[in-house]
Amino acid sequence: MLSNRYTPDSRLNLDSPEIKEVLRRIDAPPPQTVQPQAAAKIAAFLANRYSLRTIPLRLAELAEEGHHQLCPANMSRISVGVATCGQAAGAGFRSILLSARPDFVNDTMVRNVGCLGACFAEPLLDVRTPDGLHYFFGQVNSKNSIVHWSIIHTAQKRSWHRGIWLIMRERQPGMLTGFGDLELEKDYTGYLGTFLEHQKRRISGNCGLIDPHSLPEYVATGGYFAFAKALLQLSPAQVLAEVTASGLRGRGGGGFSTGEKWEIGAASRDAERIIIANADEGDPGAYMDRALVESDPHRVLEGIMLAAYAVGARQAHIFVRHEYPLARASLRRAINDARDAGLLGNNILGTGFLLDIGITQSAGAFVCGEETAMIQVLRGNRGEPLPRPPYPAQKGLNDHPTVINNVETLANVPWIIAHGAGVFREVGTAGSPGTKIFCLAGDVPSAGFIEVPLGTSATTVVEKIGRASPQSVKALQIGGPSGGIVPYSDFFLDYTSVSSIGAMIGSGGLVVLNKNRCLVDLVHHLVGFMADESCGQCLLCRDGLATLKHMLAILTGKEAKPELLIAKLEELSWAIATLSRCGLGRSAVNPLLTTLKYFREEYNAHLDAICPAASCKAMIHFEIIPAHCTDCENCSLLCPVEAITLGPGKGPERYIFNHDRCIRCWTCAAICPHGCIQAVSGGINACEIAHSDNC
Amino acid sequence: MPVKSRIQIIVDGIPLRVEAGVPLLATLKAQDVAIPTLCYHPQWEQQERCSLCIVEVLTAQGIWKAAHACSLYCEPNLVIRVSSDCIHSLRAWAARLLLARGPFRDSAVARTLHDILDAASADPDYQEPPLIWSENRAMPAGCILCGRCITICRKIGKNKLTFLGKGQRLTISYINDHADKAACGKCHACSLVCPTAYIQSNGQAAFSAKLYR
Repeated sequence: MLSNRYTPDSRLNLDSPEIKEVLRRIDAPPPQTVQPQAAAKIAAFLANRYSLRTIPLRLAELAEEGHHQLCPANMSRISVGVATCGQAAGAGFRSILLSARPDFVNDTMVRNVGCLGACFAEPLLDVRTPDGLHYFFGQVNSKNSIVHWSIIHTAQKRSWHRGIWLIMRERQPGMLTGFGDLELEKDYTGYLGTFLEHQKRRISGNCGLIDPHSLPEYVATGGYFAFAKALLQLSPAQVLAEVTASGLRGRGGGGFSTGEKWEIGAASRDAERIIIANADEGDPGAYMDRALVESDPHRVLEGIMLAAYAVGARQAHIFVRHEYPLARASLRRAINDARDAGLLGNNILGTGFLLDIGITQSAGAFVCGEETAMIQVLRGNRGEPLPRPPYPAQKGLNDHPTVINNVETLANVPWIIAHGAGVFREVGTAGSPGTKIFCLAGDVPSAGFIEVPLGTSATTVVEKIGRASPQSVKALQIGGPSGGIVPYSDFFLDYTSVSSIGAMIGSGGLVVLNKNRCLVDLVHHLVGFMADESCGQCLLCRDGLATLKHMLAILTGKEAKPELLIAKLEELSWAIATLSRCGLGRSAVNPLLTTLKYFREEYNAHLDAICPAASCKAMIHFEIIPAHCTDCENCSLLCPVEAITLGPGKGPERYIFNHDRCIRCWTCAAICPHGCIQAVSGGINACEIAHSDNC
Repeated sequence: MPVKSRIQIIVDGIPLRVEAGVPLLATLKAQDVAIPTLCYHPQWEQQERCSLCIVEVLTAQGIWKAAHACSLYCEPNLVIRVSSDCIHSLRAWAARLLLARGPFRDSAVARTLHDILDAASADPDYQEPPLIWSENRAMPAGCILCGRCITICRKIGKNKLTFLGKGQRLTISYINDHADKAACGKCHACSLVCPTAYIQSNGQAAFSAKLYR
């Protein structure tokens, strides 16, 4: 292929007087009148920023093309967030309506972009006007048709219109290389701005701004400059040393040092080395891998390329979860584009380095995210973990040294190479430097995909970013079903602090639980999930977890509770953690052990058939708070099983609840216009269980 | 063949001279140390399937750490013990879970498991609360899913048996190959290695009829 051949002449020379003049002008303060910033020379600007001495011509061309699309000089650009989350909320519909407009031909371009992370505002839409202002519109779903005209007018008349949630301004108009180049101009909602303001977007800096299917747009934000820098200026050992110096730790769960892992692979005597990017995330409530791969696939690819260069691998695989069709499509397209541009294949950028990347689809089992099980799946075997050591970095796929990293870890690498390990360490703590993407979910109004420095306090995340009221939050579930459930307090979110309280950062799921959530019931659900996902090799994991689930079902159900139930729970969960072969079994009991440590009184209350959170169906009944009742009869009319009957007379006293007939569907509590029906635990059911208790 | 070096390991405080690098469980069995096993086969590599052969290893930090004897190898300065409260408790949990996979055709299996339970509890008349889950299982009673039949079938080159499913849906299944009808039924190798006598005649009869229940 012609574009693959590079001669030294086809690189821009930064010493030419023409380029020097451009660099001098970029360094000068921006002029007051808005003027598109020397778009043609964006490559020179980026190369200067990342101290790249020679720019491969193809990269310069791509950067220029991408910059015209990202910051068009005399057109508006509408970016519609159509990642999975946006599409589920109806963004596809809005995108089609807007791109079909004939009057947009000359003055507005419509692009499909990834996800900005504000799940509560989906579908989210960004209108960029040529003066460098970004107008964000939230919840532009099909119900919100009135905002459609505002979007069109904002794009065409380039001014403020009703319905705007947030305005952000490019620090240097005409220069957009990531989220860091935007500053808050005005926040009309009062929370979308706060949500974004407290984050530090490095790895996810392009998510929601660039078109994931466009290689030029990624290059225009500085993409592949780190790779070019590594290939042209750094030796593999230097790249490895830089990653080790940055202190980057695995973002997928274990938190193992990435540099050390690479060193094991690079030190191997086997010349055939393999890189695997793990995008098989299965934790309930965690979707950072999906968001990254869907919104910025090229960053993941660049991370893989750098890892391959540092370790000396010539083949790489991306292991993607079966349930992520959009992410797979995104990656497949990105790999093809990169190959066409000469960034993959033989003789990359004329340096003789060769690499190809393949995609493997996981079969959908949770355990396949475990390193050794993943290698089994890649070889076409049953996804069962193998005992370690030997570790995959010593002897992995087809017995070759295999370096397996989470895609989020790999997405950190281009940033480290571009900016240097020292700058990377500026945020975060000494033991856990850098930023981490968390998926904030649960009982928070502003749920979403957030990136904060490691070591940020939990209160900042939950109260400032998530907008939860501190009084209502009871606990945080960190790290998915193998993490822990810890009481909500002001602790720091970094590897050491979180593991010291018994949880783990894991992949970064952060579920906020308020006072109405029964933790015993939640643990029952999580243990059940892990029991279903156990591969079945180890007796204790397969049958032990099923038994644990059964015990928790007894604890939360109507059955009589044996006296030693909680002691048996503890004993069995300890046995499972001790005797399981892989991380799944060993950590599956973490939610149980942490709740037993911090919320033991809830377990004890369940023994007496009282659910302190008034949530377990078998232990609650519904009552009317007479003070607010207006005698509207709604509850009686809408009860699906006619458990609320009306007696004679007037007032709240005539509502008779038949607790035996009631199925605890919460309909009456939900539809009461005054919120005066509430669930109460204890009392009637407790008596019943006490009578039947013959154990 | 090079002569393996003899090293010393300590079992329950008694030093033993053993060959370096051989599986620990084989050595212990040869020395008549009482360790219950179901899935262990002297000529195969580690199994870790029945979780009965638990021993405790003294770590460098001075902590006793439970491990499967079948997955350990004799190394210099290995210190283990084969009997403690912790070991008995772990074995008892494994035995309870295995018993829930019963009843077994081979009555010796149930006897071994009950012996383990008796060794773990101080009070012989103590009744366990019925907490072990044994419903909704894909695999019929009598098989402990140790996979010895699969291993032997693979080793003799027929490769007709496999694990299917996960969690409580895990089964051992016979893979029917229409081009090769006589592949199963003659060798009876799986029935010879089955520790619970679940396979009476051959793998096809034991496992294929249950595939499409």
